[in-house]
Amino acid sequence: MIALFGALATWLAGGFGAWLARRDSRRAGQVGAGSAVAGSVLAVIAAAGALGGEPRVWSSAWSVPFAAFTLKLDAVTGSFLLPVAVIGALCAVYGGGYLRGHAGGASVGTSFAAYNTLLGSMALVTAASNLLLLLAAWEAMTLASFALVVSEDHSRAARGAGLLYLVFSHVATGALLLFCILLATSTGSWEAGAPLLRPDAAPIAWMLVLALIGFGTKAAIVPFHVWLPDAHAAAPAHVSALMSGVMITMGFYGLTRFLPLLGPASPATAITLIALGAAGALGAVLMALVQRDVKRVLAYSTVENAGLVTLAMGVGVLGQAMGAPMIAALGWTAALLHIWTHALGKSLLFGCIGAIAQAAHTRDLEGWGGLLRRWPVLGALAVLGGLAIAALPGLSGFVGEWLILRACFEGVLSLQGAARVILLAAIAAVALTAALTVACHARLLGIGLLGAPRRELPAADPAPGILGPLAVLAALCVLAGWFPQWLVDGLAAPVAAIVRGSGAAIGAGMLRPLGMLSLGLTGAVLGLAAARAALVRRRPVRAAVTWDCGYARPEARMQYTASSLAGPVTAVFAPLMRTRIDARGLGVVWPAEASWSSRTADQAVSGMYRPALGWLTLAMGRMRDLQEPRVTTYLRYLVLALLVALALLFLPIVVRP
Amino acid sequence: VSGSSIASLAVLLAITPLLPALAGRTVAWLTGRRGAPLLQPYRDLAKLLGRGAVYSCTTTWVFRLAPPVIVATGLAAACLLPLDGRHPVAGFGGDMIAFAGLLALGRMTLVLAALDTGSSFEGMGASRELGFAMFIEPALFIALAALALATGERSLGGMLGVPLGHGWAVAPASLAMVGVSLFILLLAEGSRGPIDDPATHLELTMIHEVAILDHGGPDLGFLLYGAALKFALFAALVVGTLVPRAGWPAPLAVALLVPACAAVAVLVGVIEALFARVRLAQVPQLLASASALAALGVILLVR
Repeated sequence: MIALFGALATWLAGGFGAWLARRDSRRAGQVGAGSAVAGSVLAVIAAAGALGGEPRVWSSAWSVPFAAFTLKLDAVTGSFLLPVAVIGALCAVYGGGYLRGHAGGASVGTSFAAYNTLLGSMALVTAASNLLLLLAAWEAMTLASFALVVSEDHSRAARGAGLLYLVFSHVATGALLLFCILLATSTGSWEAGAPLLRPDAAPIAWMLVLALIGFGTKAAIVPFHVWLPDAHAAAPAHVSALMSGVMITMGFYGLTRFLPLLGPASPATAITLIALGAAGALGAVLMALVQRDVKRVLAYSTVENAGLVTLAMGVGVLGQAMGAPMIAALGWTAALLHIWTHALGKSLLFGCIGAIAQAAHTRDLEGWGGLLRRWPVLGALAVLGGLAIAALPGLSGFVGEWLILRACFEGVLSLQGAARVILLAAIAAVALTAALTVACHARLLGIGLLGAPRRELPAADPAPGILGPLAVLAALCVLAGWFPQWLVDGLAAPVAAIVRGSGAAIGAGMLRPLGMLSLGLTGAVLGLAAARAALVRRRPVRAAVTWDCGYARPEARMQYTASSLAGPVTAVFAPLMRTRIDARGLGVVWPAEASWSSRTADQAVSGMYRPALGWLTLAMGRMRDLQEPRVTTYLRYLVLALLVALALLFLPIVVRP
Repeated sequence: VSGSSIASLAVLLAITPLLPALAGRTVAWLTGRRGAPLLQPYRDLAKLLGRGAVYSCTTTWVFRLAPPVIVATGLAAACLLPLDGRHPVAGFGGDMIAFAGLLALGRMTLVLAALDTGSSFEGMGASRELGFAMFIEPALFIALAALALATGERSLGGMLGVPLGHGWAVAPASLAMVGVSLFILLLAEGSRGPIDDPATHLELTMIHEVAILDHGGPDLGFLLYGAALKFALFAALVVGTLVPRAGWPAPLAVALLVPACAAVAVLVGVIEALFARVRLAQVPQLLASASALAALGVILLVR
């Protein structure tokens, strides 16, 4: 607990110090990043202690009504605090270098003040035990991240993204406020963890919906994810990495913490989570396949992974609801593990792609190409991150996805009836998502980093000092792939706390063979690569142009583009995605000026929010007819209101006799 | 690890180059040609491994690392299959998911190497590979789920091992459908007709061959072996599903792998000779039928 207080104090003091030193951007960066790292070290100590030890509570009075400054460090807190600290520290170091290479926007000092506040508020969210303290920390987290999203406020897109984020966040906070009030009235206490007074009478269905809206918005569960692609694209790379890898997990923290409090697990909740997760994962990966902005590709990939985590949680809840402790433990372990591995892989990939975008001065994937030759180390790290996020064997990402599918298979074999059919559908959905994820990241890496350069890009080097944290993240991705049993060991206590005494636990033995497979695969690749190198070394090796089918002048423009590479996939899903294609001057006999463009709108926006907003505006417009710019109209209303009031007052008296 | 599982792995790795050649020979025989000798692929491999290489100026280490990765994924996947009908060389609970993951890693590597050349032809191959993968992977998982349901097992070693015999006694129709579904996947993953055309030399019509146009020398040797290994893996899956061999004496079960895989290869050749390659736009329908068949098998099992 002392370590946690130390971390909070270091973050806040460092943030304030960075703000004070904002005139000297170099020193502000040092103060900000240094304090972020120092605070994170303390937070890692706190999280590690919480993961292994007994829950600890610390409480102090607070002048706010109903509130108390109650902090609780238990295993669940530890499992969510650990990524905050680890990724937070690495992204801070990265951000120090990244911001130095950045022209315009907010100063380094202000940016770090918001960044450290964000870290502190996230740590407080995971530790707050009092509902009002949780809401306060939640709001601080939202505002700090909003400040970071709009830090390039000279750009119109960033301001728009910030506004969208603020609106969505506050609708969600409103839902959370209602949720907390309902929870407090049903338990008679403002402390989280108090049991329901009368589980049968509590408005549990409403509380579930409110929790899903409130936490689901932060967790980017479809259809509440709409803010995320814009916000992640607008924010500086280290902030996108932190938001994508860690901040969305705060939503999952809320669900993990509060779902078990709402009475016994119900199959309806499980099915809702599985359906939302599967739909979200599939829809988001399809959207990721059609984005041109590299950061939006990654943002939609985050939504996809959030969908997978939601699905895994649904499997866990299904296990609890059906009285199958093994499936519950598998599902929840898979969810928490996927949160960890996604945090590692996504912050690595966001860091690499963000740095390349900064150096290339463009985020347009169709303008990239051949960047691996230009920035070999950064590019190699990006390839590693891409393979990890595409959930391919040997690296961290596969571990989470493997466990999700493992949980589904276990459920298919040991559950009966509808639950089994749902899990079979979930397996098919996850398999399709996995195939599309590979396509999505093959497109990002293959079009962006490989091949021939498509455009002349400015000859800039990536900001200095960013490679260190990225290398650490890459090493963690590899280690997590080699030794997944360590992660499962770490998650044993939180999962046991969530599934409460069911006795089932996922032993490290289940994951160890997977690690052996990764090690064996790595060994086989290295051995075969050595053999290949030995074979080639003794022979003549030449360089030549790529095979061009005899065409005399091959050109970079003749390469496949990102859109054409994804063509076969998007063509199949065209009815779902409603891509609008605008082709002019094509297919005519005499070649003339021609253009072709395609545009795919997020169906949640164009199919749901826009029509809803349209109806709302229309309804509000009707209300306007009540208002006329005449005094007599309002006098009429006054008289009418008076009569109604009199009637209400006297009617009971008249009627009674 | 038993001796018979290692022996069967060695047998499969040894006959791997033979299988596509056998399919090609069958096509040649049915279309009135003589065809290449069956040992030609071994000679080709030896020749390629002894050659130098020409690399495109745009390529990077990704292009050079791809062939070893593709062969390594195939080897690792082969270690998970119980090739002697009993035990795999290295199996564990949930290894069927790893099997699919290894195939996906091989595919991703192939696509990245193809895009590394910056060639529009290889981009085309990569694009088609990715487009078909999204039908292959769900079908594979549904087929695996059907096998899991029929046997009550959580690993490939169990699904295709001893409990499979019981599965055939309980649900023969489902397992037959799974076998056919896996066979369709073999046609796609082994890049054979009527989905791919391994004989053509026109870039526009190929899928796998066009994605490896720029590889030469030892790299091409690795890639050809890797492609044949994928063919062999799916042939072994089909054989494993349709012919449960757990009750047989170990030497016989290992020895049977050769004629059974050869029979699958001949059947592939017969189909390739009898059916014209379907239009690329219709390949998804063919692959979706694999999903549908496997799903039907599942429905029969859970009803």
